[in-house]
Amino acid sequence: MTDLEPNTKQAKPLVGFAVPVIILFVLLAGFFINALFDDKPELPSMRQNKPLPDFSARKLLSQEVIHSKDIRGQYWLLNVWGSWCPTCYLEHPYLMELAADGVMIVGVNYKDNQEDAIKFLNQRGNPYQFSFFDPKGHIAIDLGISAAPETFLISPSGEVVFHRIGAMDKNIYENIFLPLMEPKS
Amino acid sequence: MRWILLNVLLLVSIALGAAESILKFDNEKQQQTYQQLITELRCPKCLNQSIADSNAGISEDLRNLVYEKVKQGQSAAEIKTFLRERYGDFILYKPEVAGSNLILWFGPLVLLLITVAVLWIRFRARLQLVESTLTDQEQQKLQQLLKKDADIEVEKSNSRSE
Repeated sequence: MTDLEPNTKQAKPLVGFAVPVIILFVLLAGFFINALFDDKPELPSMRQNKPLPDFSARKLLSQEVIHSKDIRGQYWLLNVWGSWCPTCYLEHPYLMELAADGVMIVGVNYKDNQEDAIKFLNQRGNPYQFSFFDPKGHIAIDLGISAAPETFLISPSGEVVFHRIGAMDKNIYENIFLPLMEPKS
Repeated sequence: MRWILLNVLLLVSIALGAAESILKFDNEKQQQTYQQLITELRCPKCLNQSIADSNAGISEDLRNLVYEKVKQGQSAAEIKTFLRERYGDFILYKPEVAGSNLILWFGPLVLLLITVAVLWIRFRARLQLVESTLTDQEQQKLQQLLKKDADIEVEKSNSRSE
């Protein structure tokens, strides 16, 4: 008896100490591993699943003033672009393809000067039904833009269904945009 | 040499003066609001910079927007609300002490207090246990037993050494 007692007394606090430490370790490890594989989008879009904000501006190619409410009635792509933006050159051929397939695309010409923008369209083709001219980037801030190019999918009722940050390509259009446009059964 | 140095200093001060005078405010408070806001708003493009530090186009635009709104007499809170509607909490480089952020701000402190409280309660319980378990009679008995034990040990060691 005298030999056993000091042993149990020593063992007890050790267990009491080890158990919480192990639990803590497991929790922390789980937390870190979860964070490591959780691929969140860098920027949360505030516009997604909300109505397209109200804005108006003159067209790039004429003096006519157009309003964001004019983008209704069917699915539209709203593409933010600029002749200064390298990635816009990259995605441009695919936008031309989409336009040729009958996809309605409206542009927001972002922080550009008119001359360069028109040159860009003349040389490479114009996939846009029309472009808002936004040299100061006011529309861009209303849309929550971080940089060009960005593309929004607008529903027939004028709601932003999807906000793509970065270049548009075939993969993204077919795997993300197209399924969103299918009528819900 | 001295003359050159003087000229250089003059040029530098002129350049600094020019940079200062680009933005004009109605009063000092507006300028302070502007300066504070641009360091507390995050560049949406470059993630780890404030719009004051960043050269990205969007940061320039946001600085201009903040300037215009400050000049219009809007408060810092109004401007932050405006930008949060467009960019979310993400835009606040200095997180607010409100809402779910309270967990981040005060969670660790609460956990520390709970830990200290638990340890304190357990420590006190243990102290009371030691103090209260043995009556005087039991103490005597214990001393006797210990003495007996020691005697046996002494006997044992004596018998071993013989």
